Amino acid sequence: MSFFSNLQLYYVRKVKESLHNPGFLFMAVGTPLMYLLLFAPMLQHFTGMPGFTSGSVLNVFLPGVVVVIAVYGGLYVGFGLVDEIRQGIIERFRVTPTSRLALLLGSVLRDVSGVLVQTLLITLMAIPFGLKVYWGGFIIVMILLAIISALFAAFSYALALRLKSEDAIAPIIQGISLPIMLLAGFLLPMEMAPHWLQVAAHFNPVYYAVEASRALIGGQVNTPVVFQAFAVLLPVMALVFWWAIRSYKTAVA
Amino acid sequence: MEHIVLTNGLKKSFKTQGKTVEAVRGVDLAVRRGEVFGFLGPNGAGKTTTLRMLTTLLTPDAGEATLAGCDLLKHPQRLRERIGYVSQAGGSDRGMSAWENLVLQGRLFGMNRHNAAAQAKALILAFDLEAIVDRKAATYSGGQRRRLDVALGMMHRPQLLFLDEPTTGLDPQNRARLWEEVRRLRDSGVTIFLTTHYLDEADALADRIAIMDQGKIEAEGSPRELKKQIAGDVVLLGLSADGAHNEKALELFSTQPYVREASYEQGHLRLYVHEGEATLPEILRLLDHAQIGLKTISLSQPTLDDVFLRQTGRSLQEA
Ligand SMILES: Nc1ncnc2c1ncn2[C@@H]1O[C@H](COP(=O)(O)OP(=O)(O)OP(=O)(O)O)[C@@H](O)[C@H]1O
Ligand SMILES: [Mg+2]
Repeated sequence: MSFFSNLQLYYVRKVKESLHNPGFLFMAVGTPLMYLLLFAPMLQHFTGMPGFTSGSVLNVFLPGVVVVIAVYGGLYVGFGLVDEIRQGIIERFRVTPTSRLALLLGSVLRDVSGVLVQTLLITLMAIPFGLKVYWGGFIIVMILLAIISALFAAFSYALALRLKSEDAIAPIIQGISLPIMLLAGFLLPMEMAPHWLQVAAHFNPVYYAVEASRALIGGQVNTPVVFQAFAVLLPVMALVFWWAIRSYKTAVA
Repeated sequence: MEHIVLTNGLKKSFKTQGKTVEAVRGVDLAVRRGEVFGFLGPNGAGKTTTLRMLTTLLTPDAGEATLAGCDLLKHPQRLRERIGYVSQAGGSDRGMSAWENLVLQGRLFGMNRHNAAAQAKALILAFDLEAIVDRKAATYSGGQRRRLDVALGMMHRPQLLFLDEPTTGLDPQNRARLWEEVRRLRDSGVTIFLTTHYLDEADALADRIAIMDQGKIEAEGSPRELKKQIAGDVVLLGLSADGAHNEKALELFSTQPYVREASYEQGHLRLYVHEGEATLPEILRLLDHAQIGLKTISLSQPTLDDVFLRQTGRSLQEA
């Protein structure tokens, strides 16, 4: 059986799981709505402040939010895997002649799909609130978000496979998600931060994605921040996937 | 005799929190094609660990094995096509129905939709799952879920099927049903390698068994052969006397010519004797003479527990 038919089987399985879960659908639509309705109005007063000079405040705010959705859409998926390990499902799959990479990627692609659907939804919902979208750039944003969510999902799955317990992975995931979020300038642009914070942000791969997304949605495609984002994120993703695939091959599940 | 499983010196230890657990310490096994092979042992004996090595889930620290014509270490991928494995934890996906679980399992083994559906139907009948086939497995009773687990392991018609405690948690009726299904599979040419805690299950179901304790195989053979090693009958004496008397009783019987072996545990004196019926009067006379109080007395054929007891010095029930 080919790798792609393996991948398709594992992907469809996870997609069905999501669609059967009413909580997932609520999250997919509810999270973007809450950001738009409960948080975006607070930003109106920032018009004209550093980082908010160009166009609508939503053009600064929304690209940050979609990156957050991508990070969280990946980071927490390991909890579901711990449960599957406990039920013996992963062991059952590991004694089939299917590819372990397909098993990992099937889940990761589902997570990426969820993030992209959410991104599309929130972007469409934000347009009536004043968001100006440059669609050519938006497509590249989607690619960046796919990379970010895939990276964090693979990391989370590998962690789950190695530690096999919610209690063990929870502090690690929480411990890394907070600095990543705070140092990405996703709610407020890093231009507002003191110098040392701006320096620290440059060590955070997600920061580059936020900056690039803001440029891209506004229509600046051919800019250094966009190239920088890919130059930083692609190697990080390669590294994480290498580690995750190793975990799937060797870890005692 | 053709062997479908041959292992040589399989070993596995785990390191957790600085401590090393030697889970399996050199296991040599020979399972014949077409038989039901039972792995009998107490909790923590290393049964699951051995099975997980044989099913490619764990890499052995040492040793080698050939299964279904494949070298375990060299061709794990080819091996996976030929074996089935039903783990102790189960393996069915609770978020999916029995039908979805079975069809996906078939597809993962490369069956097309049509063949997967046909095989799923056959297994649903065999395991009496019709009534619940479209319900999420999360809503099944423990026994229903266990039946689905086992059916999943049979989806791709493996020539060698590993079942890790297939009947734990089943009621007597479903247990008997599963035994029947295992026998039917055996009759259709599938080799079954199962583990169990239950003496009666090993006795009734397995053509041959291996008794495992603390990571080692203590005995191997057909239940009849193993019990024959015990030779004779078992007399169990429930003594009313205190410790000193028990010592005395043990000493007394150990030296009798008709007693092959005597042991004492928890108020009971266990004697392996030739021709139990004939020796009972003699035993009673001796006790009376030595003024040792007797509460109960029983005479029985040796069981696999006696075999286990003899090999390990402990009873399986208490181990
Ligand atoms: N992944 C693991 N990490 C650490 N120790 C382990 C691991 N798996 C098994 N062990 C230890 O190895 C020993 C053998 O365990 P195993 O599960 O093989 O026993 P078992 O015979 O299947 O027992 P049971 O009848 O309870 O299922 C036990 O002491 C167990 O604690
Ligand atoms: Mg076990």
